[in-house]
Amino acid sequence: MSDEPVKYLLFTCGDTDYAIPSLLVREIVSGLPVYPVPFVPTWVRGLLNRHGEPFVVLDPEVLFGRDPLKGSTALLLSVPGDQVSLRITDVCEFLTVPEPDLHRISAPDESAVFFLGAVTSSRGDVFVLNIHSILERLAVDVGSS
Amino acid sequence: MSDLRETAATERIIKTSWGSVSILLDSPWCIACRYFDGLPAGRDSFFCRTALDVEGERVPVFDLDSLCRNLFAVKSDFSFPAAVFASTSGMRPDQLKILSEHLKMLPEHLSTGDCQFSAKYIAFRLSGETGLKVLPRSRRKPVPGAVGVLYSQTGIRGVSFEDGGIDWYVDPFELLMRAVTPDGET
Repeated sequence: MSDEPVKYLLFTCGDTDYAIPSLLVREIVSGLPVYPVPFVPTWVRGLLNRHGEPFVVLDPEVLFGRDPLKGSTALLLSVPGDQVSLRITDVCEFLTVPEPDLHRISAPDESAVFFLGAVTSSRGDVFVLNIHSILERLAVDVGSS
Repeated sequence: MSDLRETAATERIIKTSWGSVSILLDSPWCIACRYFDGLPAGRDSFFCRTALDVEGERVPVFDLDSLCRNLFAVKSDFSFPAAVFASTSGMRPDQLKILSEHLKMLPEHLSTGDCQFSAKYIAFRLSGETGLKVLPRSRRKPVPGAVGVLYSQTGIRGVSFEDGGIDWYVDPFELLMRAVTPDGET
């Protein structure tokens, strides 16, 4: 583990704050319609069209057992070989912290796998999403793993 | 069937006018669209609605609406008197075998007497009100990631966005196989 600082984008999903390494964020979009798709779990909200390219829209709130998010804001992610986005409520701020300041977290269920850890911001401790684990879960849920 | 052969070398995507599903026609499909007066109404319980006499050949007509409804649960519309013809030479031998067996199981129109399946062409009946639209293949975008992997197994070949909506590109052979085999496997 290095001491290099890592920049995170903090955002909200409903009433909950989350963070994601900013290098994984390709674009923040809003107002784009989402088209439902067949055969997928409920936390896959559909496809959105960004300059003619389809992006799969994931709803982390549904993945975590809560109600679907309203609104139309999404983070288009920069994931090699994939075009995926996260439905969010709003963007908060950027936060730069040294990598050792990413604390491990534990949870009584399997949900901890969806987080890299937590970082402390002015808004309190914020969970950092583990996008790769979420995509692995997607592959399992759609039966294509 | 000269009018069918004339377009044999053309690769096209033909879009049904109700705007949600396009059928992807890969080479070596032989494709043409024909309009029929009074194409007989079929039954919702069968994907294969009837057969047409086309210059002496009996061509089974599958209901693309029903196939797509099986896939997307879309509302059906049987008002459009046209069918797209496809050469069964584009089907794999196992697909052709499944199709032949399925047709033998159907009563009346297709399985008796002079209504035997010719094994040369099949047709997909379209629906809609305004006609057909030919789209360039280049507009088709594969569905990304794990969802795309899933869709590649179900006959969905991609999407395109235009006019503020989404169009689905589906392989009707794969739709057909999913419809006529109980577990959807070919």
